[in-house]
Amino acid sequence: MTTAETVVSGAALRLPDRRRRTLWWIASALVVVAAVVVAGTAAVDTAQATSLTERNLAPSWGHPFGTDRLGRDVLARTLAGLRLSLVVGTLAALVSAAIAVVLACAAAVFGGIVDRIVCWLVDAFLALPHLVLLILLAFALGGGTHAVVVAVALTHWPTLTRVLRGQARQVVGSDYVAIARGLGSSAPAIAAGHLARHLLGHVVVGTVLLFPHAILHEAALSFLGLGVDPAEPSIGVLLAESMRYLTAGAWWLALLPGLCLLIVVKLVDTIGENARALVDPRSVHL
Amino acid sequence: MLLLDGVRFRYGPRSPWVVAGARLAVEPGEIVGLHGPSGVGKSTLGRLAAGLLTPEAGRIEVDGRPPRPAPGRPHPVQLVLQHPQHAVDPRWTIREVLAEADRNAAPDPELVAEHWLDRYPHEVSGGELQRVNLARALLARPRYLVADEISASLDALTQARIWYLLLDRARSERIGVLAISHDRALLDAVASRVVGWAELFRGVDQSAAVPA
Amino acid sequence: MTRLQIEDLTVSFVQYERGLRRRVVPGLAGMDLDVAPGEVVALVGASGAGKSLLAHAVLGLLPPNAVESGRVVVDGFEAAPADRRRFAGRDVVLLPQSVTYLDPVAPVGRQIRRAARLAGLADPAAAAASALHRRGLGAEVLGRYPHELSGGMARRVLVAMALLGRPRIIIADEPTPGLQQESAEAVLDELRARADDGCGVVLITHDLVAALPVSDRIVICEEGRTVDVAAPQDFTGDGERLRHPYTRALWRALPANGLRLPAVGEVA
Repeated sequence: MTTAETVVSGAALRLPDRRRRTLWWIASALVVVAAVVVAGTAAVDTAQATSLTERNLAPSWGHPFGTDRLGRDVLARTLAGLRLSLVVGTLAALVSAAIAVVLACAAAVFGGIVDRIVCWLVDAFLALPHLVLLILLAFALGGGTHAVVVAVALTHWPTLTRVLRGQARQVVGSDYVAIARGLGSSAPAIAAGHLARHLLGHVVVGTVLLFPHAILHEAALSFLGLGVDPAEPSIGVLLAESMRYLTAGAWWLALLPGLCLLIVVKLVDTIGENARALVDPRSVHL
Repeated sequence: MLLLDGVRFRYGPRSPWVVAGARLAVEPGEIVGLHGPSGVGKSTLGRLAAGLLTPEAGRIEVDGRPPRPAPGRPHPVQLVLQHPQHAVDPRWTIREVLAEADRNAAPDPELVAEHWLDRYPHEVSGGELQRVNLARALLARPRYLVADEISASLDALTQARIWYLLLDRARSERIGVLAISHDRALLDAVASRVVGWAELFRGVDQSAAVPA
Repeated sequence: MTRLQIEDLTVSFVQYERGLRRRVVPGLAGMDLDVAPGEVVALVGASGAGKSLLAHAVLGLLPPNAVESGRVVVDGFEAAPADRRRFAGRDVVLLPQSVTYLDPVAPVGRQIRRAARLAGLADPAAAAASALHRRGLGAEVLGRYPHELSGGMARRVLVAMALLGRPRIIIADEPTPGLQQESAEAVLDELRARADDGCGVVLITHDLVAALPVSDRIVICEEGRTVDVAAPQDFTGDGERLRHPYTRALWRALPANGLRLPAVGEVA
């Protein structure tokens, strides 16, 4: 197999160009998520504007998502809340990913006792009930937006660490790295030249796939009152506030924001899964 | 001379000895064939000779001294392995693979064709990739070369081609070669002397080979 | 009994280069092969993906980005790629190349018993144990994982699994590398015995010398294409009786024949 023609013809043309579709999905989802962030930023003021004459109104043309107990437009609050969830989720995912990269590389490169400690940490964190740990951390940190970011960041690194450690160990234990050492390559050169290239795709995909978890857990914490400042309209806060009025029939207060959160989470997940299809060697050419 | 004397190695403190007191010497320019069945420890010995593994006991000397290459300098004993695809980083181009040995030197045009340089490993054949591996090892200007079953995965013609190239370079650069293979006929054809695996341990007290 | 005919089989792969650009990578460029019941046909040539691709194509195991043309005829019935899976495991069996074809997280015993069940054997556990025993492996191997087997043991486990049922066509993909001389001969002898029993055997190998005593025909391929079909008796002396220049070059390049290379211009 020494020559490859660049002309795709005949029967080969009939094969669906899945990569085009994958990239299309990623681009579309990114556009929608970006739109949500922009809209949310624009809606921040509207989200806070109260109107005591328009309390608890069902969805209408003027207020597509209805209004809440203080007459605030629920659509505006939802958009602002989604934006906040995305920002918090992004920060938490990035910090988690950074922790995972450092731990995974340390475990693979140093091996021995370092590897055992990292594995033990991963197992310990995974053994503890996730939500309980999250709540305890947020509580200990005093609640609020910062506490949420830290709590979520500190509990989401284990799975990604495991994945990256596996990949890193494969690289470090490979024949080509052994030969690189025999050629005199320094450890930093090997890490930058071999390890980084192999891990990059997995890190990007892993980080994106952390978002949905991070976003949902932020919502959970906010719902429980341990999350962002109740004055800020996070989706979790919206859902918590809606509890009292659900039995009174104000379904729009919970259903619409909740549905929107689900859709945004699903969009981010779609980006992640499609990105993974591009990175996984088994699907990269399909 | 590449000397291994009384070399012992095992993969863990509770594992059996893979190499139990081997003695082997290779002179510059000499082609020594090491013959033995698969899985017996020949590859491990090859890696020990190339400095990729550290023996638990015994000494390994290159030209009278234990090899201790300065940081950034290649080991005087280079290794070419059996599976060419595993010996190169699949995400590196051939050019980068060769540059890892020597950033500035141009690869040997008889070994490596110009149009391979910008290709990736999976875009060249196994035989061509093995020539790249050989070129890389030679770019490190080794004193000795360990060829560990380098042609076991290749057909007869490709095998002959790569051995001609290797022997030619070994002759001109006075590189001592340790050729490891299960193929006795191949070793008889390329080596000046062939050693059986068991002969490496002649005179070694085999009872010491059993772990405590 | 079953006959396998492969005519002008071409396999290419559509791969992505940078971004959205696609290109076609050739694999097989026109393979011809004919195996009748009772025959062992050796497929010899440059090793690498080419010959294994043939086995995968015949069994319908190619990935979705493969583009095929040519005919695969099993017992007179031309099988389209989608239909070939029906024959797989029953009439046409693959003896795969390496231990990576075993499930790394299942013990060997469980995998052999599963193979026995799929082959329709009445007592899978007994069949598994006896299959291993016949090849010199004890019962303790049943509880081991694939990575705990030595190369030779793994090879014998693969042979045991492939030959459990009564397959009619056996495609053996490089069955002997890594085996001791006696074990390699035992595997080849077993394939010969199966052929004598009525099976058709395709022996994919780059070890021409080992294949000669057990084969009825030697098919030589170069660059994914069948270039010559030779009789084993013609591989003798200096290869004068071999007609095709590539075949002759291959014979003369063998270490036992002097490790000779063709003169410039004789063969590509």
